[in-house]
Amino acid sequence: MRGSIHHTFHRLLKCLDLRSSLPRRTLSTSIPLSHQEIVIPKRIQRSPTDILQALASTIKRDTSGPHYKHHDDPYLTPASNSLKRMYSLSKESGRKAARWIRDSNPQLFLHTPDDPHIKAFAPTVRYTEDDASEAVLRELVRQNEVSDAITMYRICKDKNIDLSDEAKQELLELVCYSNGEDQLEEDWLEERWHRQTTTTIRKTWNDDGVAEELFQSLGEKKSPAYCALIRGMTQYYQVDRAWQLYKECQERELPLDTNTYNSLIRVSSFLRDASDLRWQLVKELLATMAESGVQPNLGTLNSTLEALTQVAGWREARGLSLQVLREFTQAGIEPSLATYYFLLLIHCRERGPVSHLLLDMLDHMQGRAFQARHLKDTYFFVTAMNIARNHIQNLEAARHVDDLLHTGNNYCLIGDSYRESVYYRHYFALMCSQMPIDQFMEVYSDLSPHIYTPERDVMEMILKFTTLHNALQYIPQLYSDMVAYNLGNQEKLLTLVLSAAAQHQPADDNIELTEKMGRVAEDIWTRVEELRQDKTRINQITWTGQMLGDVLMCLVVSGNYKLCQVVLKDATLKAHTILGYIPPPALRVMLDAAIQRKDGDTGLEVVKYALESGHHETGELALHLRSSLNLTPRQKAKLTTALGTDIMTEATSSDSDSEGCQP
Amino acid sequence: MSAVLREGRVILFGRSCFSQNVANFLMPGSSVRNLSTTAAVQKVQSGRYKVTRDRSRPLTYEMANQPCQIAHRKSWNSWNTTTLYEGLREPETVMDDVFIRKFMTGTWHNLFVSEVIIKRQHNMIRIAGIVQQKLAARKMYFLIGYCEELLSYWLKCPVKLELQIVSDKKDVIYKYI
Repeated sequence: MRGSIHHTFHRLLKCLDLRSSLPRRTLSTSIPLSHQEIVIPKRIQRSPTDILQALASTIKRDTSGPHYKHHDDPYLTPASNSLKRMYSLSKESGRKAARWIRDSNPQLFLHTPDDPHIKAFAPTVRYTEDDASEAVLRELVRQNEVSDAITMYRICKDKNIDLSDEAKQELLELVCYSNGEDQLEEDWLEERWHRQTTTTIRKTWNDDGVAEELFQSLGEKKSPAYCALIRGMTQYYQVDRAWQLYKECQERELPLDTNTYNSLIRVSSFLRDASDLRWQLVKELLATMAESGVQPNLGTLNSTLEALTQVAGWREARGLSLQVLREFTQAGIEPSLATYYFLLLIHCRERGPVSHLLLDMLDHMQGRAFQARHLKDTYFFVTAMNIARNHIQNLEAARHVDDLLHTGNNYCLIGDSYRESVYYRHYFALMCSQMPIDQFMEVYSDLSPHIYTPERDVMEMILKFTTLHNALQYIPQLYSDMVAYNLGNQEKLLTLVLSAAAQHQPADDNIELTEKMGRVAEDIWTRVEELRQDKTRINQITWTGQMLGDVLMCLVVSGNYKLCQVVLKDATLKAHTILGYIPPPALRVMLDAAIQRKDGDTGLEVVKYALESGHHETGELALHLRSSLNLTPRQKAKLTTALGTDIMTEATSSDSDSEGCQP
Repeated sequence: MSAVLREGRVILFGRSCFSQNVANFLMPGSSVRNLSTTAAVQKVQSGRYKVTRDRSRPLTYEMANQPCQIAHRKSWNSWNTTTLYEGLREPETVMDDVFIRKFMTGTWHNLFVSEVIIKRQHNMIRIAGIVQQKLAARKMYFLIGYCEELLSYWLKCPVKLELQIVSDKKDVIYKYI
């Protein structure tokens, strides 16, 4: 005892000693610091938004709530894909209405409390014919107002206002880039996001339009004018004229810039037929570039590869693509996502041999944040996911692609809503088929509905796999999701849900699930009946015998006997609107339920239904009913009229047998 | 007495008929001596609601709490820094707020069931409030986009709406008086 006290005391002392030594220690460390020279780091130049970006990089996309463009309120939270689209476009159309009001009443918005003046909030400046001048034209070109600029150009021409070649060149560049059509304004983000991007490869160039008129009107046709026109023509696939212009340049010995060469390389496949000839042309163009001392850039690499994708079926295309990549990297050109996209297109073809290029690529790209550097950069992720699912069927690769997508700001390169949903469609389908169902459901509930709402085909796949793995506990959740995602009227999905629900075996430990399944069946029944009332619907849902059988099974199991009777009555009365008949096992279950409740009438209905359907098991059912229940004479008579006397005699003989056995 | 005095001084500036009476009463040696026998009703009325006989007047939480409860039980309807030391644009901000409130209640016609709360931070204006669920969600989105954009054009700064939707007007009723 004494020893222990001594021990504690000693420890206490030690503690005190430690504490008293603390300030001394800090003192001792501060002394050498004073000798050190303080090095002030050099100022790092920051942009005004750098801090905001740094802050934004610390948070991830919240999967539990809707996208921030939607309003954070349950009533305004979209669940289905169509609602997401509708809500964001509605908001944007409201913004457009406001813009229209501002621009049609500009006199109301001329006050300027803002200092410095913010042009974006001020009404659009309107020009009249009297304002026509070169300065106005250049201003319009600067603002990317294509049609206005063209009108202004025409006015200037009519009024004989002399325009300098620089102004004309600027206008020519704008017209060539936009093909003389107004582009979608940058302000309308949602419209851009939800727009269907159809990549039509056909001639859309405006022949003999403003661009060519401008080109002709130039006093001296210099190299930039040629460059602009060739680039415009190749962009809109007026390939032959572009080539003609290129030849003209060569004759006049005008130098062309890198991007013009790139655009020519990109469309070189349209100039020749055979694969090797096409490649020959690309090589010629590259050689011309080298001769005239034009430095290649990323665009050259991507155009060369894009030209190779046009001949991807060619035997040498794959080897050549890798060789091109090697040479360009040696020349110090950093590939962008579009480069990888083209490589994937060349190597992983649907009918070609299986290539594992994607795996090597992902190893190389891991953890890198990309920036948009090429027009086709946004195609990489969706293509990579497609290949992971359809070409190599590799879940690990898909995960790597997804990790890469969520690195840095890479998510900005997903493209648009369509590509995003295709990306997730592939990812979900692959996970669904290759992951254990429990793990998959975790990912599912994490990502849907806010990140991705499964479409019909994906939902179908999920339901099939859930049933296959006998993970019936997820069926109620999947069904309620289905309804929320506006898929509750899809006959195929309802059939799947019902057949899964009917597979459920009730036991003491899953009473809750049994009840839920019953509610699912009830909900489907009422929902479909409601839909069938609506005669204006184009895709009417037709009950099939199998579906009704499944509904009956679920309802019996969950103890909803009343609705069972309704369903059976409906099936008997409207047999002509139902495809097929309720299968015998479901009828048997129903009959058992009727017998258990001593409900002879319903039992009789079941037997009659079986008879009308022409099931072989009718006699068996009738016997079962007759032997397990004391039927009233009237019911017995009904049974006899329905099935003939022999069934009764059989039943009585079996009855008498059993009676004979009893004593 | 001091309270009466203070009241008197305030009223003096007001130059009402009543104030004249009080002024004459208070000033010694004035020629006219009118004596008002009516007791001054020093009743504070703003932000208070009359109790009905059958207790049928619905009040929201905001209405149920008197102005003296601001910062205790309820909060301000306008949040800005104009009234701080060296605060800028005080009159302009007040007028802007009046405009915003009129614009919001007019655009969201018969939909607002709460006060319009206006919060200003930096160059941003956030407008909050509770709205009835009388419109389809897509129409609400249209109005949200419209209000944000038009107010931005008018006030020359980014405006954001932060609305909450209630399914029934009764959801915001705190008590009946």
